[in-house]
Amino acid sequence: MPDALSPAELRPRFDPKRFSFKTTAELKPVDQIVGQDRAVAAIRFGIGIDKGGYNLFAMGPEQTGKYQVVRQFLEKAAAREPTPGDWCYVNNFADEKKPRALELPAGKAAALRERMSEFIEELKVAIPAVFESDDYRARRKAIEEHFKEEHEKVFRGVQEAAKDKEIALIRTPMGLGLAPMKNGEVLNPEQFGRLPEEERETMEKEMQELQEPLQEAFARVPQIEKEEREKIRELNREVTTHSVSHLIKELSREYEDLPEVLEHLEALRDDVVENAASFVLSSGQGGEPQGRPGMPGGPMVDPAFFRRYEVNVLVDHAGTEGAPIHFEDHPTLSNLIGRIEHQAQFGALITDFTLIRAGALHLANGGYLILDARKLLTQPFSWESLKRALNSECIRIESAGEMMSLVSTVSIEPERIPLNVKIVLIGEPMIYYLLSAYDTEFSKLFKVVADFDDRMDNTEDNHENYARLLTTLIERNALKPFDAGAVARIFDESVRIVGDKEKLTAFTEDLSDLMREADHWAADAGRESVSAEDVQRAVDEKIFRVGRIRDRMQEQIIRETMLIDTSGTQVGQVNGLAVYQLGQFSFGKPSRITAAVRLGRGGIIDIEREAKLGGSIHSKGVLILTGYLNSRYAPHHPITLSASIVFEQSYGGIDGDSASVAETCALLSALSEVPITQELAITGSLNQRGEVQAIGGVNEKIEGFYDICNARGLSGRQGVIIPASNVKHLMLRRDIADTAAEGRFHIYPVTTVDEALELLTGKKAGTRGKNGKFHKSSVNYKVEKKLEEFSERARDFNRPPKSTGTAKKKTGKKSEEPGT
Amino acid sequence: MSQPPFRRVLVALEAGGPDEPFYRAAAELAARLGVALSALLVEDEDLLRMGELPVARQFNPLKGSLQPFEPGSLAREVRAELNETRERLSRACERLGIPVSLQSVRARPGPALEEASEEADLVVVAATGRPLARRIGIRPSTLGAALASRRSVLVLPGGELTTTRWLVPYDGTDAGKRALAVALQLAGRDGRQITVLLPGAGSDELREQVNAALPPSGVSAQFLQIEPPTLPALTELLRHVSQGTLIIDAESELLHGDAEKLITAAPGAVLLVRSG
Repeated sequence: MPDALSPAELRPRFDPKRFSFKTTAELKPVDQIVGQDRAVAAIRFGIGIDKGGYNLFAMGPEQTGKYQVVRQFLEKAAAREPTPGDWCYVNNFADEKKPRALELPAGKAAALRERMSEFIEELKVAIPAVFESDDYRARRKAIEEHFKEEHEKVFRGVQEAAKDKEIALIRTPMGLGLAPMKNGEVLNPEQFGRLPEEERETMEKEMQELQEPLQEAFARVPQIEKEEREKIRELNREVTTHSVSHLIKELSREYEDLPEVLEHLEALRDDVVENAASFVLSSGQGGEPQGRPGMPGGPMVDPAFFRRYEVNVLVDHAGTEGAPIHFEDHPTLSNLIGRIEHQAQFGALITDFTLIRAGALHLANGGYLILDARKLLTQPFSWESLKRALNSECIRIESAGEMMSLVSTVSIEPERIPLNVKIVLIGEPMIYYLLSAYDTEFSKLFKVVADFDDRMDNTEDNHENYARLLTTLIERNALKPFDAGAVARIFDESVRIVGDKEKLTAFTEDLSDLMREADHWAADAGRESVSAEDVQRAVDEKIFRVGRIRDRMQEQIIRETMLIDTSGTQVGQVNGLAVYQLGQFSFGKPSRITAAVRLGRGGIIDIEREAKLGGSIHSKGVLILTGYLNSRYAPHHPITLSASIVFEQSYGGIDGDSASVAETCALLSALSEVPITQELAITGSLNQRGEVQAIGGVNEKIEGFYDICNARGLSGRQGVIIPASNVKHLMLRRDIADTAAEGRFHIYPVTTVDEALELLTGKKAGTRGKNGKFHKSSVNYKVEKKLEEFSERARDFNRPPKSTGTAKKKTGKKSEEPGT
Repeated sequence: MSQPPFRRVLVALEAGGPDEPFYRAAAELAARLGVALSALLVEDEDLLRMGELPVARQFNPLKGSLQPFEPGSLAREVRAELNETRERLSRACERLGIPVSLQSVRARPGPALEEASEEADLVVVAATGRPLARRIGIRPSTLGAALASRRSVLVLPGGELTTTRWLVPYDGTDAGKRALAVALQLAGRDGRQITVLLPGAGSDELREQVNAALPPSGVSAQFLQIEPPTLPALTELLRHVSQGTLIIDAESELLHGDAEKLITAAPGAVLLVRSG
């Protein structure tokens, strides 16, 4: 029979004396990543390789500090790299629907924007001044006079022709009246009637003949006006060009090494010349250069007009040193690839290049972009757009509405911006593996995986670095220094989080939470540094905050609403142990497992499975149990048994195979009719050879049973049987370790079912002797004997009845169940 | 305050008359002079007769063809237009608090104006009537009559009157002196500057004469030269100056008795001063 474990094996304690420091204030934060050698090597490789598709996927469980690690490496690498250029959008004067993208040296875009703004303001003064000058006015007046003369000349011809033919041309309210005259006066009807018919006809004909010259004269008017406008426009262009060229030459000199900017400035100059009128109007002059100067109530210029000359700075690296690192916390499509905003104007949505907004890809271009894989994948179109950008190596701004052809608003198509960025996706392993399996492009685009471990070795070599890692977290969270005792206590909890004495957790976020809370309690107690007591209080308070359900469950057991025996013995009944996970808190709870046996061929019925409350792994455990029973106790004959196993008072789902040893023991007890002590609980998974295998949540399970026993009063014999392979995972609560040290609670490690059976029954399990039989006093003998009895009786039931002299009657049926 | 150069101002109007600014300008002038306005509205006999003549035609620029008049329609339209003209002038005067007396006559514009102007010492006329097309204005009959009359005439092209700049050619002749006197009286009402246009030769002496005439009016003068002292040079100078009202005596040597040429070529308002 195995011995109980020693207290040291139940709760290894870090001795604060092992540390060389008194508080963490004496320690330097780590400048390297602790315990993530594999991930670090991958990140180094991913950052170092400058080839397409070598983007990174930092894979690991939540809260392992992946972001901080990645960020730390990227910052070092980015600092050595050149700062990329600024990007801005400017108007494309040739096609306003397709704004141009300009790249400028870092920090120059904002300067160009300011310079351009000043330039336009200068033009708003300079151009009106040109049009105000006497020289311009005189030249313009000359043109106007010339064309006024042209107009008059055209009409004068008609007037003279009419005068020659004695036809009056008089302005009427609706047009021009024509009537015959005599002696300079229009004839009245009587006078006209007295004229010879021939003369009247002649007059009529002559008036009719004036129709064509009149038509021609009026048709010539728009032509002359057009010519006049052309002349004036030519004049305007000439004087504006002269004025603008002088100013733009100065501006161009500042950007002579940037051909694209110079090209834009040339296009801008031409546009300004074409739109000089708007500059004149903006100065408050009523008239426009093409129209008549000084005409009151002339057209007003739209203030938005001058936006066409603005510079929309999309990316400004004025304050960036090295390559940019951008983390996009909310990678929606527009946050990722940028967006085009619209403004409502008279019920319509309009936009232009000034409403183009940068996305994360713009901001990180030339550097690194960190994204949360889960968030990226849950945003519509974001993942596809990112892949498209990486494949095409350029950023194209599209809206979701456009992609789905839902929006009919007139929009713009900004010039694409070349993309050179390294993407770092941070996510859980499941996401990585799903993408690898289902997205063929993923492997091509994310060739480097940085696999973060959730734990590191709990070795002496690591302890100092781990303490410095804690110091880093303390600094990052601006916490009080932790004394050596507090650090040791954090180490304990670290082991507890991993659930393995030989490991320390890499979940820095969990550690940070614990340390922040300990810091709070230290402050509450008025301490300058955090002590072990504060850490313990943080642990206890957290459990108290989240432990309501656990307490209610334990209360139900203590009040015997839920039946769990912790004393006495029972046949076919054993205390199993289950773990419940509620949010971030998990706890153990004992469950009564019972087995009932009888003669039959039904085999072992898993009631949980039959009731559809058992999961597949639990069913597997029961099937293994069946296999074990068959091979161990009936190697030479078929088992004729109907048995049922159940978790009593279990109304929810059950899964896992950690109760299979308990179920086996309950069944063997039922078969052997040897009672099982209820002072022990048992956990462990069974294999077909009768070996006990490791299970999860061993600490919580032990604590769950201890709490019940403790509440009822410890007998001194109570305890828990666990798989020997779980001993290394033990990190029990301090009170349990202390009670065990006093010999009032026991943890027994077992490697086989037989060992467990002996602990539970207090009897020898028994092994087969040379004769192949179990010793008569052993439990196994009784089990085997019962199974043989069942077989025998089953044979009796199947034997045909004795002949009564009548012919044998063949039924062709076997009896399924005795007595049925 | 000095006596106004003109006390009886007559505005000559006819159907198809000028646009709104003309009425404002006439009212502003009266206000400046501090006098009432008389208005003569002429129902052009020739025009009305035309509407009754079956053979008469109307050319509508929008239709581009000759159409006969509908019986009675022209008379109605003329009356409506004159009513509107009357209302416009009344409104403009009312705004500035200028008394206005309106007289309508059915006659030929020339003789009607000749008769009415006997009672006036300044006739205000528009250079063009309401334009047929954007730049084609028909010279009103009243303009010819006004120019032929013995009264001073203010011709307003496009209805504009610039009272901020008075331009006056001065050559030392009686005609020049009369024009200068009128200019000083007009500018002196608010102590503004006048621009004196001097012929190139002997300009220093002329300048002294002008300066000597200035003090009682409180007006200052600036000087420009007309070189050579001809009508084309004057109109060229006026174009350069761009804005301003020219005050010139009808007897000025620059006109050679042909005021029409100046009226046709001048870009701004012209006040033709006559001693009668």
